[in-house]
Amino acid sequence: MPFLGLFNWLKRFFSNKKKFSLGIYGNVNTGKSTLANRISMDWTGEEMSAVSEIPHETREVIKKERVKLKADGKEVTINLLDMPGITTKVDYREFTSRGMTAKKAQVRAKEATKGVIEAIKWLEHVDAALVVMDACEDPYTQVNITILGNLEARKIPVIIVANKIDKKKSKPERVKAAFPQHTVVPISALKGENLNALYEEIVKHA
Amino acid sequence: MVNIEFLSANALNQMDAEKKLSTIIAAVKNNKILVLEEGLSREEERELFTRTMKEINKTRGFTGIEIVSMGEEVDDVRAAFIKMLGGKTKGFTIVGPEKLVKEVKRDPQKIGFATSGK
Repeated sequence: MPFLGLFNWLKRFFSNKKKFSLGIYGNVNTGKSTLANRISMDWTGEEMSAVSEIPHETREVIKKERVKLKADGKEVTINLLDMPGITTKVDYREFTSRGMTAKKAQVRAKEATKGVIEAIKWLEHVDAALVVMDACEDPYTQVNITILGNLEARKIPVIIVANKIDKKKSKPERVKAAFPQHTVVPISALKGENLNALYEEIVKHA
Repeated sequence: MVNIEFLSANALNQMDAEKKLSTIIAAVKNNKILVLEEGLSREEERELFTRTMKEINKTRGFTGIEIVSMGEEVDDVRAAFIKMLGGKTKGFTIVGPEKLVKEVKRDPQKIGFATSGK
């Protein structure tokens, strides 16, 4: 059946071409990897990233390919990219203060700076982005503004995720007020709250 | 003592992006706070983040920057016309060493840059 073989090859070729990459961006410790794990667990049954209270746990771009996501009767296949947190400062002493040896902390700091550079490079290669903000913190930071500005300049669709709504002091309405031009979805990646609303938005943008 | 330097829009316009970023990094590494009369573009800010990370790796004791910009960069016909007439359409940017700047506060109307006096 040579035609069937050719058909399958063509199908694979074009389905690869249609890969849709969704980058998870944000400042350090906003819950990007917790969200990546939640999405991955919900749709593939597997986690994809390590999570830690110590900043810069994700120091390289972590990919989960061909994640099939369904919402509103529509199915999309995405490549999920968990990005290192973007920041303008890295101090190894932050890690030693959390019990790490100086040597280990210096290695982690070096890897963290490289991770930030890698995440920034990817800004022009994603098809859409989830920009994760900690709903307990002031959203109007330069890192958030610069990430959004660069995505907007490239006309890359953005969904802002106001994370950690399970915490009492969270104020997702402050995120909405800061960036009224964008879709803002309040969620708790940790507790799995309101994830369906996020999936509906992802499917809309894919 | 806090050392603050002001870079005029005129001076900035005579620099290409590379020169602008090197000037900022050099000033910040010398513990200075820089006020740029004309804000950086989105791409320049992005490049400044990258350069800062490379500099942290290269320079012992340098831990990064604090940066805050005010006023959006607008790329429309009106902005082009204002520029043609010699007007200014960009906001301004303040950059300082992370070690020196204790707190940055901003809202759409005002910004605050508090130093630690280290």
